[in-house]
Amino acid sequence: MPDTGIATFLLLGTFLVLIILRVSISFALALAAIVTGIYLKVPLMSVVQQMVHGIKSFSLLAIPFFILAGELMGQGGISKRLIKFSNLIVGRLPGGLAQVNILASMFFGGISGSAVADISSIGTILIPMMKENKYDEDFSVAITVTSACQGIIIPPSHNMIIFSLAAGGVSIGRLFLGGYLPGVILGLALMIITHFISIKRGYPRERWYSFREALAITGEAFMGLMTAVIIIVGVVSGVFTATESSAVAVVWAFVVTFFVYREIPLRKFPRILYSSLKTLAMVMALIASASAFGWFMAYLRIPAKATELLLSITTSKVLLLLLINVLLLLLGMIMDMAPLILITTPILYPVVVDTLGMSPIQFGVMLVLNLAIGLTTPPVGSALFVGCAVGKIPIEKVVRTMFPLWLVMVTVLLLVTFFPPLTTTLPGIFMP
Amino acid sequence: MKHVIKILNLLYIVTLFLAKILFALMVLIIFTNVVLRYVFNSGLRWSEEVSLVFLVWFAFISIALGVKQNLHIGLHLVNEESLPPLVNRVLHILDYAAKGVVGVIMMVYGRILIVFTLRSILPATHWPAGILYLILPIAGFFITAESLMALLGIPTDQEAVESVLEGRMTIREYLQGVFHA
Amino acid sequence: AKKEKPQETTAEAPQQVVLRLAETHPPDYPTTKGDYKFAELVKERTNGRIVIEVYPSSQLGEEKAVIEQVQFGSIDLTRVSIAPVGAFVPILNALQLPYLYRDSDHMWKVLKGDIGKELLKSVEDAGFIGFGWFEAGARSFYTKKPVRTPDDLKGMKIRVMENDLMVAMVNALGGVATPMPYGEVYSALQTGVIDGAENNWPSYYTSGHYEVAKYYTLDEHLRVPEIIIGSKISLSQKLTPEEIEILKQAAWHAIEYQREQWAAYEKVAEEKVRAAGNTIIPVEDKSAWQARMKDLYAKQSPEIQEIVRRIQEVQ
Ligand code: NA
Ligand code: NA
Repeated sequence: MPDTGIATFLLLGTFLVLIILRVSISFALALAAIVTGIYLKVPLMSVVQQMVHGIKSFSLLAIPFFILAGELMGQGGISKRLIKFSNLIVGRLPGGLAQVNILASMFFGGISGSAVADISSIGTILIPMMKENKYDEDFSVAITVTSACQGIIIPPSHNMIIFSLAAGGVSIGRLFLGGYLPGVILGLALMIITHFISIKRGYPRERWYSFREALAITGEAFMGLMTAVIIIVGVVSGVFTATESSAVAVVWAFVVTFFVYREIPLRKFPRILYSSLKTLAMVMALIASASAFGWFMAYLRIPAKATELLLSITTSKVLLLLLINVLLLLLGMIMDMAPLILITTPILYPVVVDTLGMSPIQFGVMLVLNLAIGLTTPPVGSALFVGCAVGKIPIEKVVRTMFPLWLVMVTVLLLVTFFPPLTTTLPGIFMP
Repeated sequence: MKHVIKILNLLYIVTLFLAKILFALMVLIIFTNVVLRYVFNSGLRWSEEVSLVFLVWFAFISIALGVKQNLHIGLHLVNEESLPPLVNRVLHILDYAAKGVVGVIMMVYGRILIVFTLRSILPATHWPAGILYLILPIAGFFITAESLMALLGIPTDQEAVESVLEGRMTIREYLQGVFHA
Repeated sequence: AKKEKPQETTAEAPQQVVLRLAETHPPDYPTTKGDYKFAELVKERTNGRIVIEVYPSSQLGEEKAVIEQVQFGSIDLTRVSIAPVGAFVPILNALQLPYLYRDSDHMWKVLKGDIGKELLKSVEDAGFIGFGWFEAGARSFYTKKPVRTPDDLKGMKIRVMENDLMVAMVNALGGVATPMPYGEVYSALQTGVIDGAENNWPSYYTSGHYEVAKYYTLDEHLRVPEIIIGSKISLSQKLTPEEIEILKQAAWHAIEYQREQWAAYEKVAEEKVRAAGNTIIPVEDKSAWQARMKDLYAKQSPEIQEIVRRIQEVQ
């Protein structure tokens, strides 16, 4: 009989070797599963069948829909309107444009689930604007990149859906609600630190708006922001499932883009479908192959062994949670978010939720926030890369400015980890 | 060879057209179902089952698209430029070899899977369960073909195909452009 | 480098065989306890040669995917509900017909008798080996208004599983079948979107639905047993026919233990619901309910109608 120890070594080893050799992560996962299947004499139909079943989930359907809604609003001109609207609210503060950057990301986060989408739509407008107004370019990029991470924890968030799938069906509505407070707190914390940096560096304030202007700006932004309202109210009130609310949001975004904003013609719609399809390619490939990989992890009982291993290091809850967070931060530095959620959730869930007793919602928000920080760090951080590309400055120049902002993010992460009410209060009130 | 690539690309463009249609249909089905439920107090019994089949199809087409457009990223722990060209070449070959193997497995075992599930049916639509897996050999085929071309260093009209997919060029323009060239 | 003599170990004790059993329920569920009992009996009776490892909580996938994997031999054994197996073995759909049995005893007489053995055998055509049945209780209606006769159901919106048969059953009783995901039932009951739903005692209690639908009418319309099936491909490679026979007997003996576990589990739920002050409405005579199923029965295939006839004859 094949030895499970050797099989475990094959599964994890093949994957590690392949990704170090720069093989695409999703194909490294699939190939590791194939190699292990051959060794274990498990028919390889299992590998391809699990790939299909990883995708075949009604809640997963929400991811393409959220991405499509975000893409529609993004290309339809929502970012411009959100920026104006944010300007109305916080533009008069010192460093007005930086504050606008943070607030607009908070709003944009309510529509898009992706930091990269946020940077490429809001950052593309604001970074050049900030540079023109004598903001240091390193700071402009740093604040764009950091604030974009709010989009990941402020609902909707396709990474939360990925977590829900990987965790075996944690309520998406409750996860979304759980992300709200930490997302808003992160935004406020960034605004406070920006306030002091702006005073110190003497960044300017923005102008006043007349009442009439304000009304028009609010009206236009409101139409777009309704997308976020539809999603949240729909999911929380139980009127819609997450998937249904995402479909309704697409229809709404479609109407607003082509019949209210009318910045792009209807014949651009197939192109928007296509660009969403491209965004989805990687996520879908990861979910499919991580599902095959995960099946072999379960088959070989790797999660149980990992739990044993972690508990053999220490049984102190505080130490274990710190250890897990440090581990995730390190992994997040080199790897992208979706694959890490898919790979680490089945391994960590039994320890953190079943053994240490953390609520699945708190764990989900903690995991997603932790890995969101990784998106802003070198050597591999997609948010940082895109931000630097948009700002046209080398990564090294931004890193020093990022330090205080990372500190803020890690502080919020620690709050999320050790202060359960932050994540469990809202779900407790609205979805008991 | 040129004609083979044309035909492959044509099939590929048609498949992606199908993906776009499925995408829009999925939104429509779920949305209609919500409207029916709240306005007319009824629902499409097949909505979930059909959307899931569409989702699987759509997702696997997007995976194939990812291989064609090189969207599946790997770890870039070290800067590509700092490595010797030979190393980069070997790593590139390895990446496409891995994709090719997965593509072949999808084709071969996807086919067996379809045969196995031919007899069972999906409960709401009574479609054969194998329909779910039908996309496996199709996506596997595109992944294998694309990896093979990349391994052999055969160019595949990447940019022209992208133009067609983005609606900047019609299929006819693309085909004429090549056959007249 | 081959210093050891590989023959040494095999000569004394034959090599151990590990079989994997997939289970959807959590480890402490009565059905899972039944799986563990089955594994324990097999280990005992083969002197430790055959080890069955139970994978609870859908670790190896959801029911439908697991059944396929058993079919092509990636998973050796599984315990599943009959409903999804019916897609592979149509004759099993007979056991999903409403008001099929008079009571629990009737069902177990059928399952343990010739019919049960025949049906277990019938799964072999689809690439499975049938090992035994497990108890899964009976489903009854719970509603916001008391329901004593089928007439009381008239016009009531009842949530059912997304399943043709259930829709047809509720409609035949005069209710309005409303398929909806399980997770939405609580709030739908609370807000009055639906007037009732149906399930067994434990689910009625653990879902909290008893808090918002206070009347439980014990019509016991559905008694669908669980089934343990194995993979013909993998088991015929890993085991001898004698060993498969040992497994079959062990499964048969695990049934009694699992039924006890189920009864205890059901009793806890029943006591909790009664303590909450809910109105429990017993149904002494099911003939009025059953009478409305005539058309539904008539629509079944001749094979199924034949099995139904034989089941009804069992005393
Ligand atoms: Na978001
Ligand atoms: Na990073």
